[in-house]
Formats: sequence, C-alpha cells, structure tokens
Amino acid sequence: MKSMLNYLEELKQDTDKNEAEIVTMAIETGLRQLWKEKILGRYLKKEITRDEAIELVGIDLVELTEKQYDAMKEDVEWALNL
Amino acid sequence: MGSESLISAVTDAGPLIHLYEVNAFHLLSIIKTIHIPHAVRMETVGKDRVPESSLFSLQHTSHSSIPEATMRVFVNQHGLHSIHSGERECLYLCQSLGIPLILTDDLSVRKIAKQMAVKPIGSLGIVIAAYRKGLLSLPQTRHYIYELYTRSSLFITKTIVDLAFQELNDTSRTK
Repeated sequence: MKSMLNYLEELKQDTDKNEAEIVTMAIETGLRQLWKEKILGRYLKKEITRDEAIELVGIDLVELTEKQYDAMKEDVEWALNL
Repeated sequence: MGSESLISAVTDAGPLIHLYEVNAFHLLSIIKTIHIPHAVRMETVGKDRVPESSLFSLQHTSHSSIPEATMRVFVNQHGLHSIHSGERECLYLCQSLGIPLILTDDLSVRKIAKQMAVKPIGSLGIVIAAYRKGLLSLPQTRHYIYELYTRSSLFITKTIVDLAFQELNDTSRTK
C-alpha cells in the first residue's frame, strides 16, 4: 500500500495545489466520509430508519453498506460453524 | 458445514493483499490447498503487492494458467464481462475443479459466486476461521479485524467491524 507521503506527492503533481491546500481538502473529505460512516452505522444499529439513511447519504451508500453487512454476517456464520 | 470446507479454496487477489497488509498472511494456512489463478498471481506478486516469498510460505498452493480461448467461452457463458480477469479465472477454477469455496473481498464477485453455488468468504471470515481453529485467541482475532479496518486497503466501515466483534463475542459465549 502506498504511503501517505506518496499520495500527497502524486496529488500535488496532479492537482497543481500546494501541500497545505491538499491537506485542507483531505481533512474536509475525511470529515465528510466519517460523517457518512456515522449515519450508516446508526442505520445498521437501527437507530434511524432506512429512509432516513437514504435521505442523508443516498441510496448507493446505503445499499453498499447493506451488502457489506450481509457479507460480514455470512463470513462470521461460516467461520464459527467450522 | 465442517472441516471438509477447508480442504481447498480458490483465492482472488483481495484476501491475499489485505491479509498481507496486516501481517496475517499465515492465517491462510487454515486452508489445506489454495488455488491461485495466473491473473491473481499477476495482480498480487506481479504488482509487488504481495511478495513471492509469502506465497511460497503457504504449504500447498496450486498455480493455474487457463487458456485464453477457454476463458472466453466461460465468460460468455456466464456473462462475466463486468468483473476482472483474476475474478473470472477464480470462478472458472471453482467450477472446473469442483471447488466449493472462493476467497474474495469483492461484493460483486460474492453475488456471482453464490449464483454459481460457490461459497464466497472474505478476509474477515479467514481471520475468524483461524480463531475457530485455535490459531488465534479472541484478543488476537480482535486485533487482526481492527487492523483490517485501520491498516489494510479493504473497504470496511467501523460499524461493520464493531458488529463483527459483537457477533463474535455473542457466539463465543454460547459455544
């Protein structure tokens, strides 16, 4: 896996932005991502409804999360029944 | 389902890469024979994402090259145009060798595998199976699962990891 410094260097070259600008963008993007993960987490823990989750993060992410959850359940069930 | 399900599996690139990234490659030893298609080898060793020595460290691996013409027929027959060559070759080997288990972290491949009556298992399943087989303690299992979330390139969310821990704890208490 590439290191963060590799990512930073490539992004600097590709976007023509300086290090500080890229780090600012990264923080903003990271926060948005963490917020979406938090909403999806609340949905999986049944704290909010599917409709509310779709309204907040969109159906694509909700469906992806549902598939991941199903995959996790299948993996755990298979492994613990060996 | 019993230990017969660990006799052989075909692996996609994902679990090889993700388990290597968290220093858990050795856990693959729970499966007696691992079949690695040529395209998967190219995606992993060929792209320096997994060292050749790691593949050699697995006791029983089988490396398979599949003729292009054979793959073309298989892909057309099953409509597999949307997935990568490594994944197609994995599914081909499962079907042609009668192997019921595919290791993959790709959600699309999981769906197709199930349609072809092949059981898909991801990196998470391998770690928990290693726990079940006594290779890992519960804290070690939690460590590797958390590492898959924080250090590997596997896309998985914190909640999925937390829920996996919860399932593991609940089931461990009742077994």
